[in-house]
Amino acid sequence: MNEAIIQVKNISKVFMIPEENRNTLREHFWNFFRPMKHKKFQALDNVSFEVNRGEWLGIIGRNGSGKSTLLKILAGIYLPDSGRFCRNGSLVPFLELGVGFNFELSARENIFLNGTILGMTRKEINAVFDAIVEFAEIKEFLDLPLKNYSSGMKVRLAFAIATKVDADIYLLDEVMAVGDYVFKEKCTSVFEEMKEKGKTIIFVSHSMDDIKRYCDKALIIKKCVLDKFGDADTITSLYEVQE
Amino acid sequence: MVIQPYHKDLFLELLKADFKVRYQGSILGFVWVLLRPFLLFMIFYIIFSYIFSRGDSHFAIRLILGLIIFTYFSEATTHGLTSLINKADVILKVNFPRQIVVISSIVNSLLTLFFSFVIFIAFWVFNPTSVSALWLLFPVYLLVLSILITGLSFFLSVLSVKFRDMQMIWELFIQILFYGSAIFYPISILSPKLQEYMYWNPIFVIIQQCREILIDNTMPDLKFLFVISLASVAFFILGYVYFKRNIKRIAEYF
Repeated sequence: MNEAIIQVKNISKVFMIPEENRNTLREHFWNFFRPMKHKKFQALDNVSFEVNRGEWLGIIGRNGSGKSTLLKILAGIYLPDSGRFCRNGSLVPFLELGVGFNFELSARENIFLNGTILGMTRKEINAVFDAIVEFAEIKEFLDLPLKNYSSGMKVRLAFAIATKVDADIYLLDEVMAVGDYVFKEKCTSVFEEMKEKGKTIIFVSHSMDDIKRYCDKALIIKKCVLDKFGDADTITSLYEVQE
Repeated sequence: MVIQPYHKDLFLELLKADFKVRYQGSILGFVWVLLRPFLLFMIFYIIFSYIFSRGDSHFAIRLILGLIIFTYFSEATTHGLTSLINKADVILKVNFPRQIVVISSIVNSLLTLFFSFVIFIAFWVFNPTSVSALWLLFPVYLLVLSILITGLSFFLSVLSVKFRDMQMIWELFIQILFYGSAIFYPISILSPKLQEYMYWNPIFVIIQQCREILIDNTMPDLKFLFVISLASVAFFILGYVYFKRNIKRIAEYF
């Protein structure tokens, strides 16, 4: 299985950061003939890589290096300014825990809300509902509003829903950073299972141990350019020496 | 973007969540839906019934119908306007057809309209007018109004992300529109010149003609309905094109 599931070719992204704050109409009218001053902020510069089906890719980089921008481009939330990006499979973005969770609603309702946001039909959710509840260990609190949940419970619930979505590619943005020891153990078993099923995962982490443990390949993003790309073990040890 | 089977379920879930959150947690809960137009009605009735109800035995029911339709327009467009901003957290994290968010917020207001129609029925029971086949035209007017609202919301939702004071401007506009739609006064009190201009206001025309079919039992001037339908559909298409063109980069404006 050496088919490329994600192809990223020379992707660049520039954010125009306005130097003045022209958010209201009055400010727009006032300065109508004066061109807006923008500071260019290069978030990604000419990034290219490929991920094969079933491969796990770790993304390493310091805060603000462009990791999140890259993930958002992969998820289709940002458009790249130039370059091509090609994806041959369904994708679940997991950039934040529990996207669209509504704390006023019960966990039961939130499972359906979050599940459909992530791309499941109600039927598919019904099929995995019990498994989600079991993983999250919230059986007796199912009809309680989410605002009464502990943060650990919310994290478990969010993680359980996201990993039950059937997709080819998963984007995980520092999921392991939260949660206790037991949660991490559970994550591990979920990851092993995904690996067996041949899922592709793109994995952002600051933990070199996690990257070494799960990923086949890794890349380092340094100040908006792709610094190194290659075998996970080599890259992580390189990064550890660098820093 | 291709429509996928989960889009329907996502739409329903968003609809359900918004609906619940809007009315859950407040003590009167759902009663607010009925209370709002009714309180407005009381205010206008107390102040204006003496002046405007002479020679019009249906002043009260005319007023409540106008208020209900106008409340639908103002609520739906206001919710449509804030729909993208309110869902910013989801829009920044997951990619799905954004129009689902806009449409579900409008359908939410449409549901509210159906429930507030209970008040109209209550008024009608006390002061019945004759029911005729003309009543069947009423859903047509609601459909045209809803198409207009959706078209407007496509513009407003994107514009309000780019210009944050769109919300204030729209609130002001709604207030002006309220006084310009002959809701609590008969159009006959206006000068002939002004009366002519009123027919440029689609909200006025829709309210007026709904009153004609539901209360007066007279055939409305279908020429106006035709023009407004065309304009609404045109607005809807233009709005959709504008929305599609701008939505791809909307995440960068939040």
